[in-house]
Amino acid sequence: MVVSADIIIAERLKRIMLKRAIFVVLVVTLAVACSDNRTGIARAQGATAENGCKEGSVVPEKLRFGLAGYWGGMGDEKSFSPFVDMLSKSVGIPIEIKLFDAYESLVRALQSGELEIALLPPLAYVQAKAKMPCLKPLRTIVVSGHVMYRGYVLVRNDADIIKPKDLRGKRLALVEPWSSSGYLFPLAWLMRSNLHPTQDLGSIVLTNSHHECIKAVLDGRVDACGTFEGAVQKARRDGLPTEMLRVVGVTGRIPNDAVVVHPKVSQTVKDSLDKAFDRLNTTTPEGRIALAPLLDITGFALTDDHFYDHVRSVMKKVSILGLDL
Amino acid sequence: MSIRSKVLASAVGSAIVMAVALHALFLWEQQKARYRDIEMRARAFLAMLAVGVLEPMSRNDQQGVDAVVAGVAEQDLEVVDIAYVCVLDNQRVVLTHTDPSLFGTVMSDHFSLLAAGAPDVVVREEGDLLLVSKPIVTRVHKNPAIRWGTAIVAVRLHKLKEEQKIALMRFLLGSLGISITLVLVVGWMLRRIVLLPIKKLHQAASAFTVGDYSARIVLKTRDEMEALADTFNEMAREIQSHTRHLEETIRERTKELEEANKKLKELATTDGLTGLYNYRFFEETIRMEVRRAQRQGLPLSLLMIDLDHFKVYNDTHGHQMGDEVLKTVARIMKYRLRSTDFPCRYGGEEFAIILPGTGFEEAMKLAEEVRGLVEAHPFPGEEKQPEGKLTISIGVATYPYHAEDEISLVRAADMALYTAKQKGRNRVESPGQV
Repeated sequence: MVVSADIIIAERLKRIMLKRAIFVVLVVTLAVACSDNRTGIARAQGATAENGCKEGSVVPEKLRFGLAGYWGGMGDEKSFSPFVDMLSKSVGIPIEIKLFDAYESLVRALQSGELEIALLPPLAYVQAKAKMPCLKPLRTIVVSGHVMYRGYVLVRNDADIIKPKDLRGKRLALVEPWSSSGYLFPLAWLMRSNLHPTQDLGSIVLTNSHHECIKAVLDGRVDACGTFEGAVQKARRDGLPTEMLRVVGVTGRIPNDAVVVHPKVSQTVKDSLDKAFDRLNTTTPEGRIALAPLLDITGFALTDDHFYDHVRSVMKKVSILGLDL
Repeated sequence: MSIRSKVLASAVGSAIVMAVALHALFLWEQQKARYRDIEMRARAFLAMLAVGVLEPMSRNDQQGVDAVVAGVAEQDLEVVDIAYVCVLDNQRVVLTHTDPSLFGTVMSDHFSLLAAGAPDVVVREEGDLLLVSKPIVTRVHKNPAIRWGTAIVAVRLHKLKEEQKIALMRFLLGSLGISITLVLVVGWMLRRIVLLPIKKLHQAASAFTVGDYSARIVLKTRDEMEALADTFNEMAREIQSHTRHLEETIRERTKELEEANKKLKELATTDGLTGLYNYRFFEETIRMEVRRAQRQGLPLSLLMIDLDHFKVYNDTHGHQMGDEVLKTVARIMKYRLRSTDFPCRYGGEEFAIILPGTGFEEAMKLAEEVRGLVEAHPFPGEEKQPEGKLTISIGVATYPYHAEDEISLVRAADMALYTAKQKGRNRVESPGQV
């Protein structure tokens, strides 16, 4: 067989080019992977504008901090004063606490600019982010040392509900469509347990609060409730007979609530806030004093938007049910 | 040093070297594995502890921290012997410690400083303790967000070291056992393969050296030893056949030699013409026989015989005829004499007959008979003799009557013969008749 020299050279060149291409792809992939790992969180606090978001410029006279009334326990805005004092002192701008009963109204207040800072539950954060693309999570709250938690599906311990399938035809109480552990994740759990929330269950009622949800089960108004461990602990502290409850389902891991700052707020203020939150944890006596009013919150961890991607994927799964989300 | 000792010594040496090397390797590996195991268990213990104390620590719940540490410490860690467990906050203040007196103090030892400053697990061996620390951290995306403190566990290694000692003992005993077994097996094999064949070879060779040429070795080992035994057997066969041949030859030669010597002796003592004893023999015998007679107190007679006018016969008929006469006279004497008598040719035509144990009367009688036989015998040409016939004269003397020793006996017999000649020949005379 006669092979011309040209063909051989061409073949060699092809091979060399292919090798180089593979090498370049490998190097780029590696570089991206490494940089992603190292800068994943740092990016979240970056000051430069991205995705067409303008850097905020407002230095407000006061920072209105909205959060669910749940975090204050039974107390009102005034009970947050140790927290407010420390934060104000650190940032140099007065802080004003605003409590909300519903997550939707909290998100709406942030959206409308009535709030500069908000503590949003994961699903509420995802919803808010969908409406305000320039919104970024500053910190994720650390509850009892953890940045994630799980939802529970509770029944009375005298109920004949042992397995998920025993919920067929039963009444289930959920909190509200903006709740992760009180709505989205229990629905996902039902689906994973091969139960269709509307077709297989007798009824689903919304109680608008975790406390009510637990109470409804204890009262026998419903057979089950979708909530989370912190709510059960709070209910016990509030004097409810939680020992009469039993867990029949545990949801997947849910990221904790996010502290967000309105995009309009100046980066300098954001940086001061970030620094203040960095110091704000129960490892120091001052931190312990400041965090005393905030139920079970023991610190604030650096975070980014990807931390909530899991919520988005669960939302996507549950959305096929066509329920109100 | 015998082969057995040499081979045994090398076998034992090799076995011990091998055992020691294996033992060292085994112990090294075992120690590494056990150390790794303990470290892994300590790490697992700390991981459990760090997760458990995270919540109470973050809530500043001292009782909760104590409860978790107590609960975790109760876990069965099997081989892990915990010296102490402690949890420090970020200022290295003891939140909980197995030694309650340390609660609230600030740990400033080298390891605590190292552990509190390290972002990850720290493992150090200090004396008899293995110290492992782990930060108690809340992480987001695996990135540390808040560090609450540090958990430290100290594991005692003395148990491990004791176990190592036991393992060492066990292994030494094991290697000893292996060595002994090896020695026994090698010894047995050696005995079977080498020593027994060599012993057989030795026995056969020893038998050979003492003249047992029939010694053979029977070996069925199908190896070099069997080949050696075959070669030995072949050699033995060769030597045996060669020796047999040699012996036969020697026996033949000896026989020939004996015969030759006998002949030589005969020649030395016999007269070539007559076949009678010669003069030399006569001289020796007469001396010997007289002594014997003296010892035994027996008589001994001597006959001295001379052919009468033999010179005439020789001159008339020639020497050849004369010789024939001498032969015939000798034959007549032999015929008449007993086997114990010694007829001798004394010289020329003279004969002497030694008669051991014979008295004078008997000797006279015998002499007379011999004289009569010669007289009666027809010799060719005897008619030409002066007396018309061939005759003999005989002198008889007897010890101890006529003589006291062999010399006087011969002289006496001679004198008697002389007398017989004087008295006219063909007669028998004795000294007394002189």
